[in-house]
Amino acid sequence: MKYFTPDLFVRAQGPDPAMMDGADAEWEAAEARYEQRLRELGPVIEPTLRRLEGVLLHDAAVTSISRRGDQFVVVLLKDIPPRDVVTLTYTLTGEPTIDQNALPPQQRSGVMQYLYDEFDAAPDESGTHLTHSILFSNGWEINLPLRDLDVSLTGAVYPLPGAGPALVPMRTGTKSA
Amino acid sequence: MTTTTSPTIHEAERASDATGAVFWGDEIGFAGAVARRLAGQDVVVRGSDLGTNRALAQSVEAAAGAYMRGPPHKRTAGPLALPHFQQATPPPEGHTFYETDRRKARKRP
Repeated sequence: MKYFTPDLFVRAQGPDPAMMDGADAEWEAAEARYEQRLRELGPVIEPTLRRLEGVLLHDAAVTSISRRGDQFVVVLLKDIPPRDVVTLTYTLTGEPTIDQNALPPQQRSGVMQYLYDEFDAAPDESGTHLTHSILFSNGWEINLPLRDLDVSLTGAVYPLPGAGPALVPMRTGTKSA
Repeated sequence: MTTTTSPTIHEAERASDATGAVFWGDEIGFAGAVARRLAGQDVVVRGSDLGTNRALAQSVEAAAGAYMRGPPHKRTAGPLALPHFQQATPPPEGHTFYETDRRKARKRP
């Protein structure tokens, strides 16, 4: 993550109000820089952004992450209504990296939720490949080099919509604010 | 001259469109807000002063358990999303949103 960094997210937790104010100002500046970067990338990134347009993934629960060859699949249950199941299928151009310690232990959740993400593009021998970086609440940061991203939304059959919590802690939460 | 009024806590619902908007409903007290949070439902703190709103929202969420704070993110939460506190390890799910100088909840339609 270059803009919404784990460090900035940690500082946004405070608890000192001045620290939160400072982090919020940095966050807004990061959003402005990120939007500028996306504008610079223009047609390189626009088709991918369009596929995710309106699919609000903040706080979506991770149902599974899997891989076969160059296909990398993330299945999520949205937190923001409508609570659809979202399947992100990446066609990779290289090895993804997973940092399981992107957040300090005291800031990691006992569940895995989609927090923030960033797209970028980088040159390679075959032209340009996109990158997608995602920070998750359990402290994981996944970086994916990709040439294509398919986004599919389906209505949840299970867990039953509106039947209660969809999240089950993997362990006792270690986080305290 | 700017006047500051005491913040109020309201039942809240999130929009089901792509805006990320938060709708405010009936005003509730602190105990009612905590009960609603423990039930996994949303609340929102409304008012003119960011610091006061945030501190009250923080108190509500802290009463429900260990919490984290989420700054709004236009692309993953929607352009009208509000900052919020939520449980560090849900359940309970849901959020305690709060208004800022520029980000406001919408009246429930």
